[in-house]
Amino acid sequence: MDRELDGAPLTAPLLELDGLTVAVTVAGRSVTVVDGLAFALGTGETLGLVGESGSGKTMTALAIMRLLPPAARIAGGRVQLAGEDLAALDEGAMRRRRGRRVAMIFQEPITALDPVMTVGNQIAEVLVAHDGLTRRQARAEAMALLDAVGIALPAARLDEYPHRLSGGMRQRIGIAAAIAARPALLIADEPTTALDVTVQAEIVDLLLELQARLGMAILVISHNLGLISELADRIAVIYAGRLVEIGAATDVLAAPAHPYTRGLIAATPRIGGPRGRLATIPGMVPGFAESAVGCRFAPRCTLAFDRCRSEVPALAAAAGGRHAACHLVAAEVGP
Amino acid sequence: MIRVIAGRSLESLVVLLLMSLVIYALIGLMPGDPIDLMVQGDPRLTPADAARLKALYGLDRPLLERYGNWLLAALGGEFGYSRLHNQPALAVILPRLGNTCWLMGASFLLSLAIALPIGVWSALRARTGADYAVNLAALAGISLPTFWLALMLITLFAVQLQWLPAGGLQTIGVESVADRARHLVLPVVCLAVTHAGAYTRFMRAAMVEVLRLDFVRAARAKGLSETRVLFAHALPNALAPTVTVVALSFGALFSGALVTETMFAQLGMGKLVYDSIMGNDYNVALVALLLATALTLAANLAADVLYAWLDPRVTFAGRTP
Repeated sequence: MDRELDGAPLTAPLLELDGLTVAVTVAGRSVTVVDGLAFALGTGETLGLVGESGSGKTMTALAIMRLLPPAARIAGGRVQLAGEDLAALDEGAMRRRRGRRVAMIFQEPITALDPVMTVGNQIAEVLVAHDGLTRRQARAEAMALLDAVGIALPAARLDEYPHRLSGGMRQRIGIAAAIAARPALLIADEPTTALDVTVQAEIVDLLLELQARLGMAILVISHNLGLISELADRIAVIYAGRLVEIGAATDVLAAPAHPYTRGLIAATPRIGGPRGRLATIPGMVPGFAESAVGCRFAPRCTLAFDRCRSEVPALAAAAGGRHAACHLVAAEVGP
Repeated sequence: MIRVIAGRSLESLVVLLLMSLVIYALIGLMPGDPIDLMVQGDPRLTPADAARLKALYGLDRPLLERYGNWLLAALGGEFGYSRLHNQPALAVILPRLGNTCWLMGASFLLSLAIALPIGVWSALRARTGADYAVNLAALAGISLPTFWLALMLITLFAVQLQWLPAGGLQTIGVESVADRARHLVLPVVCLAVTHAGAYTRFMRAAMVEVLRLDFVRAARAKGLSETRVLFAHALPNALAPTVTVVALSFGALFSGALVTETMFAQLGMGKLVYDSIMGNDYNVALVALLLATALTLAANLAADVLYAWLDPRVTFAGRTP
């Protein structure tokens, strides 16, 4: 597929979000937190979903899993996974897809594991639920999975409770449970944020290794551009629930097209970079309740002009096969 | 584990010993003693007679000396005589304790059978109409005056419908388990209603708390059935705090329920303690209160053991890293 065309995945698309919109009811009012999000993720590909806290990253992930909190709902759009719309499935069918087609690992390995169940059982129950294994078979398989995620002495660890393990080990357990039923898509929501730096690198290596071995696609969600640059083939940047830029990771990081992406990269510290104050983006992410006319980034954008405040910019092709939702980009490339 | 339980039991014994001194002193410091009552009841007794009687019973000795004598006798298994019943104190107490065990045991089990399922059910519907209704009912159960509830139960089931006896332990002259059980129904229901309210709220609160946690969402993300998410993950986590609170309250049950026992003419510990204190029946009051203390301590120990069993993070020494 020609990525010059639309920032599309390099392989056949596995996941396609088409106008995904998530609304949350706050104090009786419905506010849109994910606004018409559209992007695709290819089989075996890694897409990094980047944005600040409150930009709608996690809501997007939970919408794909259909595990939104009670106050939130999918208000529109489709979530096509391998050709079927997850947003349209009934709950029973969706439950059978979770873990099997699309699995998820969470930010806090400490709280994402059940404290009163042994780690072996927490992995084995996935296999019992999806593959219909007996407990004995599932236990043997769980031991193999512990080995696969790099846990030493898996036989001894099976009967441990989570609190006896380190944060890195717990995240490995979370990953083992997530890949147990060999999902085609793994959603990793801030998978390393809660971990020590050295452990972060190990988890990144593990995810890359598992991806190479199992051929699964990964949607990695983070505000951490360092993590994204190590994992992702392509990057999608979202701001206030809208996609602002998408393209190959190397291109987006080397030459960001959207002013927001530029600000985000400038605000990332680098080892060996110039010392001094980091660049910041003035202002704050707008509250979702604030009415949105025009580009949502306009109030914080140093390059904003009148049109930005009145008209929502469409996603337009930018140089280097990227796409950005910015009037300046559209003007530059021209109609 | 066994060693820690043994250690804790030893601690409990020390507490029990201290409590015996405290209870003995409190009763001893109460105004009046049995001889005063005898003097009031019999105008022919002179002050000289009273003094002689006090010397005879050792009531003229200092409190600590009396306690020492009592303790020595008690350690030898001799708990003294009941003044009101003219029987050894233990012979008075043990049948009462038996009655209380049946009454409290049955109402405890019934209240749990009501409270735990309803608490979970209500938590799954948190902040809906059904949940508010359960909360209201639980609050009503907690705050209904026991005497009123007992009266209503008696009026409805014993007087109007005539399904069940209004009170007493058994029909005079009838010796059957079924008859004893029929007499227990109303007091058991009465007590269960009052306890179930509190237990429902504990269970609901613990379950609501657990359902918000990440691992519940993670369990759903694995594609587990909702039944498994609730009963294999959420419930075991919510049970640990609930069981602790419930087990702690279990000990208090054995000091009896004065109002319920009185309303339904059940001869239990509550009524016994009350009567023995009012009647200056030292020996009975002392032993009955100590028994209640011992059972409370045992329940505390049981709560700790249960908690450690339900939650592997709790090491039995008490501290977790």
